[in-house]
Amino acid sequence: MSSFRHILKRILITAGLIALVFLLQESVFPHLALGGITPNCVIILVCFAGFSNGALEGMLVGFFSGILLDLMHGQYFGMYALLYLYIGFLNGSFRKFFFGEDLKLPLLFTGLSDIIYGFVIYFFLFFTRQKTDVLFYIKSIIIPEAVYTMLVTVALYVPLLLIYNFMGKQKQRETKIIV
Amino acid sequence: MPVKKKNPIPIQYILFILTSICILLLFFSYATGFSGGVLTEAAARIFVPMEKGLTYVADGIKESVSERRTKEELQAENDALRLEALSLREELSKEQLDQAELERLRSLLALKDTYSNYETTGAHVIAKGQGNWFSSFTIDKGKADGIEVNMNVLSSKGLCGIVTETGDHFATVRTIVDDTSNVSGMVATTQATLIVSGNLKSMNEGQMINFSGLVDMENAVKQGDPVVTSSISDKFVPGLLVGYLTEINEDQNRLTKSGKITPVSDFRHISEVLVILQKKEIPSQGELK
Repeated sequence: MSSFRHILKRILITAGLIALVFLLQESVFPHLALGGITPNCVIILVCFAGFSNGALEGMLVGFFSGILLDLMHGQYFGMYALLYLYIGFLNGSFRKFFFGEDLKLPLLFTGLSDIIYGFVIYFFLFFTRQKTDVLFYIKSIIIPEAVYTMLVTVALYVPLLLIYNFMGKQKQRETKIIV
Repeated sequence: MPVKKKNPIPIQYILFILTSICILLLFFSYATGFSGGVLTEAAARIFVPMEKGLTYVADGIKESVSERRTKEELQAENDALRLEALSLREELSKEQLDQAELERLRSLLALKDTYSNYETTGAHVIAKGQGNWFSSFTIDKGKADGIEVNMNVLSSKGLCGIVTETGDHFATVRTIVDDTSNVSGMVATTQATLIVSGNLKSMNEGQMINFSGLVDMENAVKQGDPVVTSSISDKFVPGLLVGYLTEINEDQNRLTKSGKITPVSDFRHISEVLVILQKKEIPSQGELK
């Protein structure tokens, strides 16, 4: 059963990637905070999984990354899982725009996803507690985080593309990057 | 375009199922206070050692970077330090006077419980969680080291946070600058109580936290007065230094005052903390979770 082995390999590698971005986000980037802002590494992987392999993979990667975050910081257990599930799904739905070689669109979509993520967190966890100064939160949290996340996306894009191409060996794809 | 195999189950169904699972989890955790239990412990078994390793490496790199300096830099630093030593010496003599006064006042107030009396254990910060919206971190000690939920956490300078979750070998700490944190405090000089609330906005704008509900009819409270945890707090042991009053404004009701406190701990660069192994828990409505 080569297809079973193939799927197992993909699951293991993806699990490894989830663990890796989680560690990057929790233990590496806090040391590299710019003006107190850290990037959202998990969203980079979730978006990438979505637009390189479709909505199903985006959803699953999003769901399980979210569960991991919920487990380690269970404020509202299931919240991050739900949020990342939809981010993965949305990015996966836009898959037809991507051909894997162009960096601009993935960058844009990761940035947009992070902004959406910021707005959802703001609305449900801050706005509901009468913190109504939206502009402040946009200006000093949401936008800086999205920009930093996009910068990190540039750095992570090629390694991720190589890993994803390695996983999808059967459908050989070019790894040329057009910026 | 790579040709994709037709999925046996439509994607919308899977989305619907996973969404339902998440919503059920949310309701279940809300109703029962479930936050992972065994699963959290399992995840922690895998990630905590790795986080420890990464933190160790990062600290090592930071140290070697900060050690590598030229002679000029060292000389400049030496000069700066000499100046600082001068001003510190001056400050010290002032502090000694203050200390004498403090001792005298303390004996007058019979307030002898400063936090040097509490039994503590040191721990390393190994991860910072929840992105830019919340302020919490993970430490490398847990139940096995006697740490329990609601124990107070100190930095080298003063109050830093409270333990919100524990595993066998890790604990999560919510800091007092977190937007959802509320601490019952008091002004050390007048014993007037107030509520110290973490605020992302104040923290972002000026590294400060908010306070409210200060009753000060005689206008005795001044800027620069130290704020400590109050004895009526139900989760914080009394007498822990929180910070210094920086901004005092009268509220519209003219009865209470609110404003800002500059915390003593540096929340951006916490790497070691002390956990007080003594809990204060009196059920009351005064303090939000």
